[in-house]
Amino acid sequence: MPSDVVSLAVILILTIWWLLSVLNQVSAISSMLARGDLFGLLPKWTFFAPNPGVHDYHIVRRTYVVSDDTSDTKGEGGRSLMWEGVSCSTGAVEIPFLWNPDRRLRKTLSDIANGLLMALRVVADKRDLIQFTPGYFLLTHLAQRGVAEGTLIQWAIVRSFGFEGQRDLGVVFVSFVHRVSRTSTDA
Amino acid sequence: MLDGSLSAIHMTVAVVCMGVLATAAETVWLVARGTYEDDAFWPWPVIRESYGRVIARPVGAFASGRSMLAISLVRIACAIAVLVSYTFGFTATLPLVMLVLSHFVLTLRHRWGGEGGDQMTALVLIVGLIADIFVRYDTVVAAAAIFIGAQILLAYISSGVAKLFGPLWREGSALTKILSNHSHGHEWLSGQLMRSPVAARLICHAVMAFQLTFPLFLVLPTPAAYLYLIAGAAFHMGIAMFMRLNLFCFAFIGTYPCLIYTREVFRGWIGL
Repeated sequence: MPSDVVSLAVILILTIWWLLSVLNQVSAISSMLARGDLFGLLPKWTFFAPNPGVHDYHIVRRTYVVSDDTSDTKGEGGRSLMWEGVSCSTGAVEIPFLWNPDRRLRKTLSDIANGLLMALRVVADKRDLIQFTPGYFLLTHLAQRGVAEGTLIQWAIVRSFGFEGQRDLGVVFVSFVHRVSRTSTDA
Repeated sequence: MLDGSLSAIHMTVAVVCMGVLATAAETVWLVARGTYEDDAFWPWPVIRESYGRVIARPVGAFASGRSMLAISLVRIACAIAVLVSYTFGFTATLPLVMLVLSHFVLTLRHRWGGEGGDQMTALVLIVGLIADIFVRYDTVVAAAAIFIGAQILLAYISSGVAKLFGPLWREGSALTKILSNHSHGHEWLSGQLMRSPVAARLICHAVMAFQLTFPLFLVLPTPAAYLYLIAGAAFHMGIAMFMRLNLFCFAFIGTYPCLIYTREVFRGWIGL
């Protein structure tokens, strides 16, 4: 194949890729392009702007001690235990420039939390639908770790700002009550 | 022209590969802590529900903790192979192919948690691969280097423009608030900025000015233009130091050789 044709083809691809990258900086266009961008090849460079992420996100859960009434499948006759934190950390130390494995865990939680809050705005009064979003599935799965199968649980996302001693805390999302079941590991 | 563009791409890819080494090592740690098991933080049985069978089946073959460990070790080996190849003048096509393919697998496997450093890393690796495959086509290699330069320019400009629309950035409290959390904050620095709102506002506006005026790098004469690179390096190193977003440092500073090449080409086009 003549070198001119090859060069032209590659330059055309790179040009289109860059132009799509420019368009992807506009939020309205970015949400359309995202549907086809499975591998994240269209970068979005507007991180921390216009509204920067300033919070930490935490998952908390509570379990329900059900009543002896076997017809009470929703635990309405039971009582809930205290809220407890769900650990999302490996305990890694952080070394600037070199080492921060937990940043990916925290970013995942932040992405899911922000996604859920955005989804809530979309579903509006059909809040039940939120249960079927991937992020909700994942957090339900995380919340049920270490809890006996069949137990009723509920989880919530708590958002904090600031450091110990002067932290602002707020609950931004509360899940429905679920009965713990283990996900099938079949492929 | 070929020599300049190819050297620029090699330097850029080499620095980015150092970032790949660091993040692959982090993934090894995450595997060892069990975060990829089915009952852990990234459970594949849950994540795969986000995809159709066409995606879920092939990615599922690499989804287990053991496979993630293998992928990370392959990435470490390939990043080193790229560095060795460049040093001794061998082709780096195969390790770059492995790095690009494994990046795609990791993107789908994680589904969430990606950041700007990951995006730039992916772009550089793909374009580095293109340059390696078409190394005999000097126009393609030059275009590849300019593409990377154009992406970092786009990154700075769009980030600066986005900040113009942010009330926290305009009023000067954005940085103080960004640093006031555990995720990417710094207790000492946020305290200093809280005690000195004037300094906080100055820094916010300086970051915005740096990003919005970055195109001047292309037209300013040589000593002055390089102040932008010094400021940029300080910016990214500050992010790594205080926010522990380490990959940004490698990925973004790594693009500067291609950015310098882009500037030379641009100035040649406009007769400077």
